[in-house]
Amino acid sequence: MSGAALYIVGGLLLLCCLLRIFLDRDSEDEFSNPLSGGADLSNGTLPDPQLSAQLFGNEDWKYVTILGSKTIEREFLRNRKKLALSWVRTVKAEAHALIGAHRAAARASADLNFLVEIRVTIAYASFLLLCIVLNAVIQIRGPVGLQALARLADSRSEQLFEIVGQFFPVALNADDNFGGMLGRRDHHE
Amino acid sequence: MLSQAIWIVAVFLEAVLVMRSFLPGLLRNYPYFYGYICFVLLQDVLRMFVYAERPEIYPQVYWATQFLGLFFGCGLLWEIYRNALTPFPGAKRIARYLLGFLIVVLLIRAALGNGFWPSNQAILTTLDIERDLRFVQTVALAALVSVFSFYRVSLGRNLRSLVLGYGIFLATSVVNLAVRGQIGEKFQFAWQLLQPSLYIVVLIVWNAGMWRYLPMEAHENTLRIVEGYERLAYSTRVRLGELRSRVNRGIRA
Repeated sequence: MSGAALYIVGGLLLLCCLLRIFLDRDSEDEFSNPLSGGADLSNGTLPDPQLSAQLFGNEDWKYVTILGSKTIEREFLRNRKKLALSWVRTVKAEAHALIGAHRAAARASADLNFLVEIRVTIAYASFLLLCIVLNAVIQIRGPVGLQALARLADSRSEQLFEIVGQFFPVALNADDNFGGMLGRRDHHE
Repeated sequence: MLSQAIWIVAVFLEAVLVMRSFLPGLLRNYPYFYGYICFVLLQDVLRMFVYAERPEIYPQVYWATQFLGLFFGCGLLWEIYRNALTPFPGAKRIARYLLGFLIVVLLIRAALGNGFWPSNQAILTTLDIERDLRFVQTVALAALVSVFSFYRVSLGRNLRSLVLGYGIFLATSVVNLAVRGQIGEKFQFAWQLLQPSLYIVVLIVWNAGMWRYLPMEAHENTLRIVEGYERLAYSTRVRLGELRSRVNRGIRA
């Protein structure tokens, strides 16, 4: 039966691929122009690492425990968990927008490098895996004290940006406003 | 009786496809597909004739034409690859690498003797050969569809129906042939009905998608994307520097 199983798996795999491409049709325009999205995320707004340090650190928690109210502690943990999950979603959405922009450009690039593509895909997959783990840990344990894991997620995201940056080294005019993104950068500084 | 009705419906749907191929744009842009459909139409008419007049040679005619159909199918795969990926050289290059890799894997498996064909089987049946060749096409199409999905290659209505129709045909053929090979004669009756019925579904998909020529629309957008991405890549690198310093500050804090 193992011989037949290979063929059946092959056939089912093709059907799954077809389903994916035809169910995903509506989102075809999702990264047709990565710079034109109205939302901030599609323009590549990286979450402030200070925010993750605050969210996953235990300074606030220490302060709340000093107050000695169980109700406040419960409420704090509940809200902090919500915020942490939202942070994970934001980071994931950011990476998704970035990889979308990358693919939109890579598919039309005659100089595409297969190995770089593999590296980008692996970096993205490992980043997503990390986000899934982080999400699960937050759900189970709560966000307080997870600073180290959050930092790891940040560094994975950084690695992804680095690889994409290597792939498309560009020199643009200094007065270019990069599709309005430099304005946002100045705001951070 | 039922299988003959299915046969007639199939011939009718194929004839409609062939007639509509003369509408502007269709035959010019999809010559391999219409070559394949013409072949299948002639094959079906020939088989009907032989089945009615010379049933004793029907199996030979069936398998001989079936193998020719396999080669026409390869042309169809080539057409899907060429039409979908020519506007996207990057995705095309990835597809080429992926297909090359798959061919190497399949050749290694066949060479090692533990692949598709069991080593104790000295003579392959025609059914085994068809199943294996269809399997190679199935894997190749799955790889192509994965590339389309990964790079969000917009196929357009015509090409989408080609991919969907041929994909359903290949996937169901491989599964049917594998089950038929495994179970044997007990599956024969179901196979005789199942395979042609699914082929009718494929023909309906093709008729719906290829009713008239609709050009693909991705070319202009792609040029804008490349330009936009270069800007994005530059600003990403700038932001990366910021991110690094902020992460470092966060860790030190």
